[in-house]
Amino acid sequence: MHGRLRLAGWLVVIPPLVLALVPVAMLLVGSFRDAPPGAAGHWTLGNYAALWANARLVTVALNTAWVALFATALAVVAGFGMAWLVTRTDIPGRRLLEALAILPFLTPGIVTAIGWGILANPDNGLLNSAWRALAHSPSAPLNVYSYPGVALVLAFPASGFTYLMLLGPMRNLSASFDEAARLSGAGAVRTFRSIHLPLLWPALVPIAILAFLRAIEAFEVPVILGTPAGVVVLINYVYELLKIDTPPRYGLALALSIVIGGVAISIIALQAREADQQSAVSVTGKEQQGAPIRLGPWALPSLVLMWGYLTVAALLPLGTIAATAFMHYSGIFSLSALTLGNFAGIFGDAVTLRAIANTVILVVVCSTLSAAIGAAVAYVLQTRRVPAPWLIEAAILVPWALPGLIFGLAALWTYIYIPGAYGTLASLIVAYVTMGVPIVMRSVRSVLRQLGDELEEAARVHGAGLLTTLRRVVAPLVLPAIIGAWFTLAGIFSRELAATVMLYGFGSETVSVQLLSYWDQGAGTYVAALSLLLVLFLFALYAAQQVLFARSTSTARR
Amino acid sequence: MIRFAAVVFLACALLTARGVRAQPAPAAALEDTVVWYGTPGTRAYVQPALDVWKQQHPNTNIEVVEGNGPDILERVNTEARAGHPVADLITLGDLGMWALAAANGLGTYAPKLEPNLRFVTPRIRGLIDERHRFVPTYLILFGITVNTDLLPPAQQPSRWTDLLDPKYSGQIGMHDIGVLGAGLSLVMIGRSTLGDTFYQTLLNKQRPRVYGRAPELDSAVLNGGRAVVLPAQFANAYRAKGAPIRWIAPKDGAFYVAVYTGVIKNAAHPRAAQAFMNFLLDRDAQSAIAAAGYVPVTSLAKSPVDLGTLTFLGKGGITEDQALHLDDWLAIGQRLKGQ
Repeated sequence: MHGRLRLAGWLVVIPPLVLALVPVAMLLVGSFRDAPPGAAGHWTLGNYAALWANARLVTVALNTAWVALFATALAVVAGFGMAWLVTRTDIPGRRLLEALAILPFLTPGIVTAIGWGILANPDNGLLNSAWRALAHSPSAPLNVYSYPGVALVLAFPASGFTYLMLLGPMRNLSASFDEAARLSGAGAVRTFRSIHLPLLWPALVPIAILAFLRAIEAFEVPVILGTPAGVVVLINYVYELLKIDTPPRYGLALALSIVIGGVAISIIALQAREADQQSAVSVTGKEQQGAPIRLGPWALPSLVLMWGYLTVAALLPLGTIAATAFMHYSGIFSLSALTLGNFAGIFGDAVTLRAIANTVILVVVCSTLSAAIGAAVAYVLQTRRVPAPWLIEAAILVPWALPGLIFGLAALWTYIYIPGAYGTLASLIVAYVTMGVPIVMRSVRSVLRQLGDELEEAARVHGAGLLTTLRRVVAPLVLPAIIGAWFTLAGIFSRELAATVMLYGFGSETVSVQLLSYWDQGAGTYVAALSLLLVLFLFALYAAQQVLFARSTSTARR
Repeated sequence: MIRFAAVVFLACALLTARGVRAQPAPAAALEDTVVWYGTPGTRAYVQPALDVWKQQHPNTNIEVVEGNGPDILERVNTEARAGHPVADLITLGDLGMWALAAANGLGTYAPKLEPNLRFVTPRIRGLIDERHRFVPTYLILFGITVNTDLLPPAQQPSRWTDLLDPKYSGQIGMHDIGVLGAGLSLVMIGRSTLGDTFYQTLLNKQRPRVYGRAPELDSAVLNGGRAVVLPAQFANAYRAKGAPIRWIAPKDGAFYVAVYTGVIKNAAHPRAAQAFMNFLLDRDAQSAIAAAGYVPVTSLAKSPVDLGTLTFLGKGGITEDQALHLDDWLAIGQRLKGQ
């Protein structure tokens, strides 16, 4: 029995291990080859020598560092501030703000980038045009096609991410701290500075590290706003080496990818260590409903600041995209230019219809497969059915830690050797599942850790077999985590671009790929129309998740 | 007798007209699909012709895949290396097509399946590949475009070198000359006439805004963000009728990018691909191309611009020898940029 369980454990973990490690190994091998993927070549150290000798790389790395640092700093300040205001204070319209603060995270990077491209390009951006008209000045004060512009637009989704990640720890802060502060006569600002900030600091550090990594790995914003203007950070540098240079410089791109991947994995390891330490110090109490802190005279400035930030980070670019979707020309807004033609255009385009169908298939199939495999792997690792579970977990996590573009390159290097796989929907499914399994595995494993072994042991003592224990005890307890992860993956897969751009082919286009294609063609109004549909789909997905959780919570309470 | 002669004459005339209008490839049954890779916008401007093709060949579907030149080129190369060619037919600008041909990525077409080649105008005949790997499909004409709201006629440039006048400083938009694209083409074709100092002065003294992508460059002059842009397609100004822009053929020479079509080596649908390549030279396709502002290569459609009235820079377009030394030209472009 024990041997069979061990065998079953290996059967569960080997497929995701292979899916995760083979592409990474191929990436490593490719970085020592002097030929493009699929071609015969020779072993070489030349790619690393070229990387070392590449004088431009130092500048690109430094630019990446400061862009990511700026984006992280703004994201942490904004995310922390918004989470604090909606969870701990009496800011007016708290419920509405709590819902709206999720917008920067839900809005795909490609949509925010294109929205801001319309708003603040130096030639004819709407904000610059408005400035010129109002100030009677020929100057253009805003230029989003610049390093500060890229850093700013990168900060918006990162702030939404930080906000989401901080909501839990903020809510878990015991209300007794606020009560004590109030009794001591401390105001809102002093309570924030002296109590909340120090208490939440340990939770903030690993989140900030993740936000920094996301800023380094982000693909759409640097490609949309950086590449056309020569604003180069590491990710769009790799993209340019592969997709713009003629012929593509695979060797250099692979060697650079290995370095970036190494840095990304190191950052993840650092983040994991910080998170472990954080869990030891910040569990200070369970969620308690106390009276919110009164902002008093700070209420109005806080309200203005939060609405202002949300307007800049989400409402303005989303509004611009929504308006452009109904206009004849991108960037020219008038009642006489109103049209539904853009929607007729995209729905009349066979490739777009195919892309929508493919995206739906990928979302449903890959989220479901990832959820099933990820949950099974988490269970096997948690119950130690295989030796060295920490090592297996770390190996399966590698594709998640790698930037999407680099994982896409690794997968390309692998799938090209499988006859008939290159460019197919099946290859995208395999790649998406490889990226999705680690997310579910982490989420489910964290729940299993909290459960401990006692429940299972109790079930077995009462005569339940493994399958019955899994079905009657484990599954109901981890199901919410699996469903939550399914929705998270559905959101990620419906807008995935970085890896897809390396792997798709004729017939396997996705909505994100088609957005990039329209953008390449300069078809701004079609980009807007398709973006609007994608954003609406993401909002619907999020709303469905919220409704489902509200129902399951109310059922559990009953 | 006269009536009989008239009927015979009319019948002959009709038959001749039919012969000119349609030159279908004499082929066996065509396959059901042609996967056609092209640069951005391909589908939009050929759409009217695609509708005609659909009527003529209801059983052969044309699947258009669009992407920027380097991306499409590498996609074809990767498919070949994977042993899984998806594309049947490819339409690319001169640099990309020569690179693909040099990489042995193209098959050879059967001249008898391309009867419309005989309608290629004498001026363009020299662009037909003697090794039967690709055929010219249309030309993209480049010059200077100005925003007429910002530059009244008296202030508009008439030559490339006029743009070195300090009055244009800070008003110019320019395609990047260090990457594959129209900016580099201007260097390759115009360097012998304009000299290195033209590009260096333009970039260093005139403070142009440099664009990496054509859509942003076109949009900048259309919306008044830039008063003058270069090198600019005639087709964009032609299509933007009523907009405050004007395309200028420089007196010191316009230039063109030849767009070619070729059948991919080991294509899955070679007969249909060759038939469609021939169709692209037919009146319907060439007329659709002309209506989009590009220069047709055959006499079957009227060109939107009379090439005979223009002066051309250098040899007018890129030569095979230049195209095969692309790396050298990219290095020159980068050097002129000061990188």
